[in-house]
Amino acid sequence: MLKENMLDSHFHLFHMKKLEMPYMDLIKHSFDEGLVYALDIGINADNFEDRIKTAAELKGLYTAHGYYPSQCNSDDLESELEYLEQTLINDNKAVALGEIGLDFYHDYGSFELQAELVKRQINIANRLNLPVIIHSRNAEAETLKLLDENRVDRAGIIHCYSYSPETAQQFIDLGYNISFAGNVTYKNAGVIKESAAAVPLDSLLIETDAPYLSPQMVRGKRNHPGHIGYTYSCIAELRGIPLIELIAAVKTNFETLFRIS
Amino acid sequence: MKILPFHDGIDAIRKQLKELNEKIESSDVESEATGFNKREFLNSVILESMNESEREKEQILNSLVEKVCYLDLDYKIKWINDAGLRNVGDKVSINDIIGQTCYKVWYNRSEPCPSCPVETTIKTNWPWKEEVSHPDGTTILVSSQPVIDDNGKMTGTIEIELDITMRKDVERALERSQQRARALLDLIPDFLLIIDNEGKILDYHPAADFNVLSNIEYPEGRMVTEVFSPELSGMIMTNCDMLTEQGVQRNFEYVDKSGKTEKFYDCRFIQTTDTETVCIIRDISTHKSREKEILHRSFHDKLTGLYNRAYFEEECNRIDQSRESLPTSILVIDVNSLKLINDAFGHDFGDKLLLAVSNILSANCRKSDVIARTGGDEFAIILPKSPREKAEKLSERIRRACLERHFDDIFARPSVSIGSAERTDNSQTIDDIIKLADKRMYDMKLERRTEHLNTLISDILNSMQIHGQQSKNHTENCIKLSIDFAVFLNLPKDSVKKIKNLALLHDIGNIRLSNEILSKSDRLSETEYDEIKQHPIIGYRITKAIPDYSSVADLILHHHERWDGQGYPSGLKGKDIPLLCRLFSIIDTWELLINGSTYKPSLSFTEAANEIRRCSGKQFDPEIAGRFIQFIKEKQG
Repeated sequence: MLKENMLDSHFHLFHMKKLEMPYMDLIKHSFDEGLVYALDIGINADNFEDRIKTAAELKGLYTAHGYYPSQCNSDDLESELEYLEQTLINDNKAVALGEIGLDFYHDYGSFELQAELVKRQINIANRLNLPVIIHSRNAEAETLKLLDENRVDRAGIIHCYSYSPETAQQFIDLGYNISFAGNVTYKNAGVIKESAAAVPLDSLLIETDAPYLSPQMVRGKRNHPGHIGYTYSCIAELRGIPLIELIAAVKTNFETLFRIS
Repeated sequence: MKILPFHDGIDAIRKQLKELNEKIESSDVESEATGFNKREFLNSVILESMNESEREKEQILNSLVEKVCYLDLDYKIKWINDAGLRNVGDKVSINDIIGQTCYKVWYNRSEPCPSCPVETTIKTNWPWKEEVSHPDGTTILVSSQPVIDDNGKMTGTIEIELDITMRKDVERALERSQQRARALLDLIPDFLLIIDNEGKILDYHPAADFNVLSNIEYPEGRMVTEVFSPELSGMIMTNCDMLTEQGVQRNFEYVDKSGKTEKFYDCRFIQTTDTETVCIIRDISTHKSREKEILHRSFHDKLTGLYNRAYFEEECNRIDQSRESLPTSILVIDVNSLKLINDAFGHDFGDKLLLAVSNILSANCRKSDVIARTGGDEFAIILPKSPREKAEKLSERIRRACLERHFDDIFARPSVSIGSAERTDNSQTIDDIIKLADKRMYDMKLERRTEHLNTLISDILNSMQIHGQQSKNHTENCIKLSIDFAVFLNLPKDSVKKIKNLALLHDIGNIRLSNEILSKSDRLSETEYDEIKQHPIIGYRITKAIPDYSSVADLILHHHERWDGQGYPSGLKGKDIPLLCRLFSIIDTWELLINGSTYKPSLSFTEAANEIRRCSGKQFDPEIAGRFIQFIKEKQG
């Protein structure tokens, strides 16, 4: 159940739209029900304008813009990066650059190509003094090394975390927060559950990654920020702490990272 | 006090005040003279308006089905609406419960209800809500809002309770139903798509091997054409278009040839609404390959891979009703002495021989010929568009190929009897043709039976010599000595012939023994010795089935018996052992003593004679042993 002051640190509003979900009703209703913040993440330049406009209308809705690893084969990287930087400057509600990262689960491109895109975007983040949102799939060691060698001044978030508690600590040592998505609620999510229980409370964030990764209780349904309560309850239970304590901590972490008061 | 926004009431007050102000300002009545005080008047009007507004607010709050109460920070009721009051009792008035705690009044508890949101609101200043389940089965949605005074300090909370028991029951029933549906979907290995009329995937349920058909991770919202191959998406859309009525089903089979092995899918469709179609795609590759295997098995012989009797009969029926292949010839082929071979050498060897024959048949036939194994030792060939002369030529080729077959691996060349017949017009039934070919085959078999068997024996003996299972010299020496000794003893002619054959075939059973055992110079293990002891029995089986040699079968069986009963296989004693066996056992031993064997070096004449004497009365018949020494001495001259 969605509770007051819960937040969604990572979701894709316009992917919900693409799936023909009543995305505006869903996000507004979530805010009415108590959701305090939601961070709408971009993966490419699609819908930049619409997303900025929508965020401007809703108080708790913030944006992040960035190019996903799938964009690493772009023919016109220079102008696209310029466009990204300009968008981040122009969008008042933009609080981070992302999501960016490495993905060797899909055949998006070589390590070199994907890493180059990440490095270029980290440079932009550092110029604009923004945190970054990191996507990392089947690329544990590579991501750690890349982020170690390319430090972000305000670090950011390792989103939809799926590696071990030990690796989480290494990301935290680099200044990152660890964000858990609906897959932590899955029965076979052994290592993710271990990490969600182990990550220090002041480095923990929670997300839906909507419209993907619906939590176990609503698996099979399309996901949206209104489902964030299931993941909060699961993590509170895993850590053995009162829900309210988790809500307060995650809210503080989000506000601190994105400098929101 | 801020309870709830009540814009209409406040707007009404503002409007009235504005009107009054305008009225007063425009009045020419002097306040002092008339005693009319504008400020007092204004205050009375405000108060009246405020009371009016409060009454309106109260009416609205009292009309709600939710229980609404205003609590102080100690959960004490400061105000409650009618719904809240009714919950306490019909005769209770608001004044009776003001100042009492909500948990005492509503639930008769001495402390706040577990998970009451008011506690959270008081602690955090946050609005909060909880679904609270009570022991009586009811579920109440309780929400609490902080009441903040003008200085930003919380002075109390508004608690609103709504009985959602029915809604929860419905939700739970729905959840159960969804869980069942989910479990069902999880159990079925199929993947399921819900698509609209344009081919957009509205929903899906993945299956384990979904990525075989598509590498799109989230197909929801995408077009069928983006997710699947052009061929599969084309088939899906064509079938969807053909569904014009709800409830009507369609299905098709899709073969995916993109991978290393072909994959088969059964795709089923049903239209659920005017705009939606449910499509289930099931991987039926295993089922298909089993079906193929069963079909293959039902028409093929497992051992040879040729067609079986069922297929042959079906083909015959087909030919019976057709003129196309006339003239058609049939060859019936029987493997000679297969039973004997199976008995003597075991079924493994029989199977090898059958395979050799089947290979010869396949190598000599055309593609259009139907070769079938129609029985244990029987083959048949249908030769479409072939007169009998052609069939006879083929028979000859097959026979020759059998004779020319090397027999390193099979001990003896295969031997077959073949009969042929032709069907030249439709008045002849194929059955009659087969019967005629069968008869000709049997005639040939009978005619050449002895020849076949003798060839078999000579092949076996050759094979044994080639493989070192029997020494040619030992056999020849034994034959010579046996004949001479029999003549020396004045035995009848028939016995001389028998002992000659016994000498020739006494170790034919060695064909089943491995060379390792036969050539082993160390002491044999118990198992190996047991195996050795089998050779008279095998020799007996082989020779018993061959008319020319059947009379020596018993002799072969007992040629290792001993006078003292310690021999094998039957442990016969003394004169129970056939005479020729008692006689031959001395010759067999003598030959090995004089010429040496794997086990022992050769002995001198005297040493060998002493050995025969030593064993006389134990291994050998003492009387015959004596005569043998005499015979040998005379022979030595």
